Amino acid sequence: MTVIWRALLLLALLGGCGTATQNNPALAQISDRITGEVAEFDPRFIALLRAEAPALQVGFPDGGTGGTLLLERRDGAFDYWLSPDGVQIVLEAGMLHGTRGLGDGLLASETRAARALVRGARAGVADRFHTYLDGEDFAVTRTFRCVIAPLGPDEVEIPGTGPVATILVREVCASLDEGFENLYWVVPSTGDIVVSRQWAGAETGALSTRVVVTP
Amino acid sequence: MSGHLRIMSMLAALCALQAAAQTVSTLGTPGLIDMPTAEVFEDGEVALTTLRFGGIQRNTATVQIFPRIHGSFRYAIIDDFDQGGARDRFDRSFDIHFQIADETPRSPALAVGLRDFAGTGLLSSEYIVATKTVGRAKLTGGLGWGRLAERGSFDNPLGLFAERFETRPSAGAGGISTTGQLDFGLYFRGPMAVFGGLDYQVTDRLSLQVEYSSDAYAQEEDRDVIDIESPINLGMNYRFPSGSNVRAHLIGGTEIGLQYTYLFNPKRRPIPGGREGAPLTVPDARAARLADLPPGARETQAAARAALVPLLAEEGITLEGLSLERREATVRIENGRWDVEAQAIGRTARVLANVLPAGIESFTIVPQTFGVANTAITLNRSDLRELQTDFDGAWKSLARARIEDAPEAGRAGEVPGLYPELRYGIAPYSAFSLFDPDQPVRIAAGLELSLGLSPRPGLSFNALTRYPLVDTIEEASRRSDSVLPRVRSDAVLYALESEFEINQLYGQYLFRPGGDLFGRVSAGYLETMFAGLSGEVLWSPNEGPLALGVELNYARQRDFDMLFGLQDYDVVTGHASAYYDFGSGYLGQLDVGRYLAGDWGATFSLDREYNNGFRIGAYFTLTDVPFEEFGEGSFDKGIRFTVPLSWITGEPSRGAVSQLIQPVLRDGGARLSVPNRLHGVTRSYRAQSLAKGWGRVFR
Repeated sequence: MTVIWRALLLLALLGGCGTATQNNPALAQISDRITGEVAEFDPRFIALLRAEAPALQVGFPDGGTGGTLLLERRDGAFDYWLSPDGVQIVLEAGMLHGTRGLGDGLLASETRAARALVRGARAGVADRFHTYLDGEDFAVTRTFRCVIAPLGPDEVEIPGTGPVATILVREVCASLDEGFENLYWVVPSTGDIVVSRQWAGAETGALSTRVVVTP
Repeated sequence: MSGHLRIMSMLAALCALQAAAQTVSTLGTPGLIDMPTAEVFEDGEVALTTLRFGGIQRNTATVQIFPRIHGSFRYAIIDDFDQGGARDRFDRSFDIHFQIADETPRSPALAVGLRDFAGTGLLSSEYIVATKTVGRAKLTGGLGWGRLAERGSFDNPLGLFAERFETRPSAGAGGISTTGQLDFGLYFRGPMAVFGGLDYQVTDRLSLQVEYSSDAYAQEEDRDVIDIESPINLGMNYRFPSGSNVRAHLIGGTEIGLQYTYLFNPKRRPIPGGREGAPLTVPDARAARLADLPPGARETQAAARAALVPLLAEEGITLEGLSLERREATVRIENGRWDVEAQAIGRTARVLANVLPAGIESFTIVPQTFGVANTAITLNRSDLRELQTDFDGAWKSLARARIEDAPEAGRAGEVPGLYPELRYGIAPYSAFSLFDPDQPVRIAAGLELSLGLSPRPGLSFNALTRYPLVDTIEEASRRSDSVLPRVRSDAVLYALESEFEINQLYGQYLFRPGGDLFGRVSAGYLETMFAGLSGEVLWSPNEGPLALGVELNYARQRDFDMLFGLQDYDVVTGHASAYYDFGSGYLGQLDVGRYLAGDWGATFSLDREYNNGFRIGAYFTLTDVPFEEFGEGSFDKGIRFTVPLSWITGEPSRGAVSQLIQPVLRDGGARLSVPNRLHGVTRSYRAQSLAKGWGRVFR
């Protein structure tokens, strides 16, 4: 647990506030001391921490936990976000594409049609495909039909910039035996999803994301 | 956060592990209280049941081997049953249950079963049973033979067709020496009786049972083990969200019993996605670390090696060889971490994609065991990049992969300093001795030291020594009464006379004599009881279900102190083996040859291997040793299981917990226990096995 708090503290100091450690010898010292001790952190995460990579706040509304992930790679529309313990969340233009190291193995998804509606804040129906690992290591694809509808303007707080005007878009999806509801706060001019609540799978449940803007 | 994410995902996963539980009988099979129902468990499910009532304790493991067939192994202890109440009875029994028809809206489920079909016969009985759901109730009615016809029996109508059906020979007639034989002569013979009952689901979790039992516990009542005053048994069952069942029952109107069943399905991993950290992503080739270096140059080779070794080590993979051509790279690796071999291939490929020069488009990965190449898996860099975000990426990637046999990988591009290689490890160990009537479970536990020195690929010198800190095996007072050479039955003497144990000390050479062929030569102290020389050749086509092998050994019995001395007994032993993959996880094996006691015969094995590596199997061996000479049990047989550590912890590991359970350990049909038999060592990297785990290639 202490590791968690140290990590959060460290992130608050480095990422969240966007303060450059180089300019503050005291902070740099703390950072060195802490990172020196936390050998159980994924070395890739420590490298990102040192490089002051962009941050994403991720929460698990069902479990009441959360933390900050750092951007490991931006590759076209795909963003790969890494947690201190090596858990990865892959977003495709802000929509959840895959997870690594969470309970569910969401290997990948196909969300093109849904993405177009959500980012355009338009109403419509779209299919999505999620591929999970099952208990016998088979990659199993599940198909969902989703109804997408904008719910109206909503203002959200973005750490680092303050309030941002968005449109709240709801996506309600169902398959034969599962169903979920996603919410997206979309910036109308750019289509960027700045805050979201998205379902990752039966075992993980929903996760929330909130971008952190480093000035 | 680290703890949070993982603990939370683990808790969620454990909650999802619950099985579709049903009530489990006192015999550990789907049933009412003592009576069976026509139900089955979910395919693959395992039910472990323990109960006590009166002076009877039963422990049963039931496995739903096929969707319609489940088998059970049971170990019962009945207080003061033998020698006029002076001794407890220890009773091992096997059941088999076959569901003929599943329940439909109009017709009931129908099943037939044999209880205790090869033991001492105390529970020996057969049944035909039907079960139908009506609303919240399940009605069951059936016909029983043997013990299930102790009450209210009538003449067997089959007697009209053949007189022999009218009487039932006594199951234990031949005494202890005939136990273990299949009693084909008595199934469904003698008087029969009707039984029936009702299961009522009060809530999702709570159910009540009532039955009319045709089992009168005649023998147990005679010996005052139990008191039966009524044919009606009552039960109350509570199912926990985890799938476990706790139940209380009232048997014969007087005996109160308590029963616990743990139900689980090995098909489900506690954490399907695994807890391991994320893999590297596959970048654009131009963003790789050594993107701009010319692939063919010598310096590139050295730079690539320097970059790859630590990155692969981070993934638990040892780089053993690297050669770079203009457009392709070949790496030879040893996987020390991933139980799903395809995942090791995927992890290696992604490390390569992050490092190697941009011009290299094709990666060939050669997994090795003991420095010996198995297969060569070729993947395209561009495919990896494209498919890593494709929702059907795993299967598309398998379709585009090339998996070939690699008999001649040699030592190309060997990483300098790899040999001589020294490995060592200290770990705790435990060993069990089961079913001694004086003490059903005996255990030895202590520290184990393993050492390995490999001067060149394929060749190794290995030692395994143990120092027991706790040992109750040596306290056993029973000594072998075997009339055969005592090749296994002196196990207690080995425990008793040893202190520091040299379990293994041998040299081994593995090699590839040709395409699809593997070879092994081993010499030294091969196992705890025998030293000798062993040679084996395995033909294992990269594709296809069949593999064939031959093994020839000269073995000489070791001294009981498990040090360097040898006894006089020696034997030439060996087998021809056929391994067959029936598909859907059913693996068959047939070994024909000469066993340690000099007896000739064959071993038949069938294992169900779940795709995640969990394995449950059974075998029996018939040799030219007559049943009377073999002794108790009549012939060697056993059940075995292997649980991958990753299945337990959710962390990747090549470790596993294995246990073989033999009802009796005697000298007939005993096989030399040679380390690293080829099929076991090589199978997981053949194309078929790799393909089975390919779902994890992008994990």
